[in-house]
Amino acid sequence: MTVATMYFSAYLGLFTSLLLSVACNSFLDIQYGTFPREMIFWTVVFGWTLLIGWRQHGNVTASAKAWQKGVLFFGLFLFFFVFLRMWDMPRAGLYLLAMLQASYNCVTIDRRQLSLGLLVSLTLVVFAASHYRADWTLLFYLAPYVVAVVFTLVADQIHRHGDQLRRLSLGRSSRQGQGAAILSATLAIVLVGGGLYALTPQVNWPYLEWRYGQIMPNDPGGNLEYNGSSGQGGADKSADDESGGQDKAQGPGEMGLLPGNRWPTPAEMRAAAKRPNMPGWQANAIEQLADISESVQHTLQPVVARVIDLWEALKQWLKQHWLAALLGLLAVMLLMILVAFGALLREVPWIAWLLTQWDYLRLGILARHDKGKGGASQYYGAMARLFALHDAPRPATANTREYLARIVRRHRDLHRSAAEMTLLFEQTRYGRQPVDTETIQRMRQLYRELYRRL
Amino acid sequence: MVLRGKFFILAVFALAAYMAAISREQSLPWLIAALLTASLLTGMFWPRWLMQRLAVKRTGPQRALEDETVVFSVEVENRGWLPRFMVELVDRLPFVGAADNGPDQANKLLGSINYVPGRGKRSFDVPLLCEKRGFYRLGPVGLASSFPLGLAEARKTTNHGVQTLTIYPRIFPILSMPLFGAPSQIHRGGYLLPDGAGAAEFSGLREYRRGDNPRHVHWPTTARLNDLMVKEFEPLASACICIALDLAKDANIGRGKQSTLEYAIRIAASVAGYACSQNMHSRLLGEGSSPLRIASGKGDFHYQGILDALAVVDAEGKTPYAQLLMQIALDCARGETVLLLLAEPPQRCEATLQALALLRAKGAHFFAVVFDRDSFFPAGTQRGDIGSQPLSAGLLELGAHCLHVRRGDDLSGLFNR
Repeated sequence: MTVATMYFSAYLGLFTSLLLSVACNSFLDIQYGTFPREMIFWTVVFGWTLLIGWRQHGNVTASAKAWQKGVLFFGLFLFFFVFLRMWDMPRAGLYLLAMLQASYNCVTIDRRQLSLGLLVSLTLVVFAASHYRADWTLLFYLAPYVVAVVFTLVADQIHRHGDQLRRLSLGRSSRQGQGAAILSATLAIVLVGGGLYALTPQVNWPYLEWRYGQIMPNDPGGNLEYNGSSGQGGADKSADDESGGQDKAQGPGEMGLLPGNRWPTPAEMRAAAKRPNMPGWQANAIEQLADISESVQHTLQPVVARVIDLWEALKQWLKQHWLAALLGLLAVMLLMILVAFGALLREVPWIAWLLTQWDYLRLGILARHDKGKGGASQYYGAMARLFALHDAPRPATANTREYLARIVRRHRDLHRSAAEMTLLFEQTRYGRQPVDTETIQRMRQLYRELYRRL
Repeated sequence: MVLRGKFFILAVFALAAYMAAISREQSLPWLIAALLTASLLTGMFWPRWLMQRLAVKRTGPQRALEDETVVFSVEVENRGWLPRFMVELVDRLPFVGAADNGPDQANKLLGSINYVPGRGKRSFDVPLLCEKRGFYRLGPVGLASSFPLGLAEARKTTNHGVQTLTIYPRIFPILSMPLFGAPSQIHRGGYLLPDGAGAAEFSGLREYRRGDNPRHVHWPTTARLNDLMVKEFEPLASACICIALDLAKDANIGRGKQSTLEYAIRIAASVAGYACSQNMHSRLLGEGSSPLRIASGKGDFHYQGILDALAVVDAEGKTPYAQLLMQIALDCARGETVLLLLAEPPQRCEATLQALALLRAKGAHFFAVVFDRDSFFPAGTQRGDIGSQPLSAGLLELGAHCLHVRRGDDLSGLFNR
């Protein structure tokens, strides 16, 4: 079995994913002020170990294995003497998992190990998202994490496929354009995924059973999950009250994206920005988000109110004039049916024959034609109906010359008259001179001649 | 559209993620499920969309020599507004890899283009080695893509790039050949005056006889004597060659380029080239699936005709070599040199020798190339042939000039030794 080695972009993506997944967990303890120090520590640990892995170039060396063991022992040491004391289980176990992954990074050289690394990062993120202190502010780390994971997988796949194509192709291929391909694919998947997430109704089993099955009591057997998650850090609970009341509004273990949850108001956003030890960039971003949200609300409020007013007025009008609206709708439908029926009737042979007889009576015998261009169009139209009755209908896309060619193919003996009629019609339509009576009379003569000969 | 295995694996993961999302009452599983579904949708529909409004054009030579490298230019035009990524170009190029196992009709990957901008073009060159002579139909060029995740592959066949490629056999230089002269036929009425020096020499005048070529009338003497007088020429010796190809299926040993037929065709083309350069008459005969008959002639145009025939000929015939030699004996000119290319099974040697004896009786000379069949058998195949000693002995008795060719021999060195 061949070992599918990793590319630099995959290492970069794995580093970002792991760092953001740990950041999601560290952010839960933001009020203690250890977040920057933790981030620096994990940046160094993941950066160094992945650098060791990258420098293997697909072949694990003895020094990498030594580093793996060293990081492993260092992780165990931290687990027993730092993590357990600081966070207790299960948070300490989670950080031990992160250290184990850091140890494994030293020998991460192929695709399977990359997938395992991403899976570990997903485990860390799921844990953080399930925590009772997780709220919408976690999105600042969760959204980049999602993008980083998608980027990693896409970059790995595209690099791998590109290399495979280069090996198999007869011509010389280059890597030019792969970056654009990776970014486009990442963007597309994230956007489609976001759209699906927004559109999907996020239901649960109790709701489905209530809606489509038997009525179930709410929270049967108690909410074991929430009870479990609340025990993730006994000492942390005291800080809940200091978090600006957000947790109470969101409920335990939720991120503000749960079914039925609403987007925070600008006031709630500003309160979140003022939480103790919130990173400066994040506080600024939240403030700007609150400003934007507020301005959007100000802009949209009158528009929304106007739309609602119009909608209410329409409903009121319909309530008062429902009979007139119904009859009007029926009249329009009847008119459309009649128009369609008229168009169908034109295709019926005996109706077409009647129309040509009417044309001849009106235009040929009584000479009841319009003046100017209108008269010329009437005679040309009458000629077209006449030929349509004699196996030479005018296609919808054919111009006059193409139609003349079609007539000549079918009725060669009428070539001269049809050609003159077409010429006169074109002259009246596109000529500079105004249409005189002689021209219309000549078209009438030609029409009569064509009628008689057909 | 071809869905690959990992598409279904990812679909199972997406379903599992949705089940977990319904059970967990959390947002993250919903997000994961949505991303997995987005990957599925993107992987399934994007390749198909990428193929739309793409045009591909491949241009290249229609004639080439064996072992020559020809360059095909491929241009992909994106007629849409949005860019296209990772477009693969597949093409049917039967001459690629034909040296080992014969023409391969499977599609081959010409190359890939990572990025084609909207309303833009991308092009690249593909140098290809013409491995084996033959007449090949190339194309059409197709497009394929499995961007971005390789979950599904979309293919599109176009009508572009359909062309033919004639690869002529590679020839080697021949400095001289031990040929015998055949009497010139210039004195016969059907021939025009010689267009090359030294083929015939003026020897005298005589009275006109019925059947003489009017072009040979010597008008000054005719006017002086008031009687038609024609020029007489001394017939000079002028070699002419008949190339007899053995196109029987069982006489072709070996695979691809390392077969007796390919060696024979290279020798035939080179000898024909030598004859053309020496202004000799040459002709080519063979009995394949259809008879191969190139009448006697000389000059570049004649040589081109021989090369065209040799480029497409194949050993699909059933006619024994002896029968072809008998046909040659029927219209063989006295003194003509017959190039024998002998690779037939030993059991037919006796009949061949009898035909050669008849040819010899008609005054033909032989230049025999005897292939060592054992050396051409692919490794690991049953041989079971007896040696070619009886044939060689018979050829020597008939006064033939013999060359023995083994697989891998340097033909140029062998013929110019």
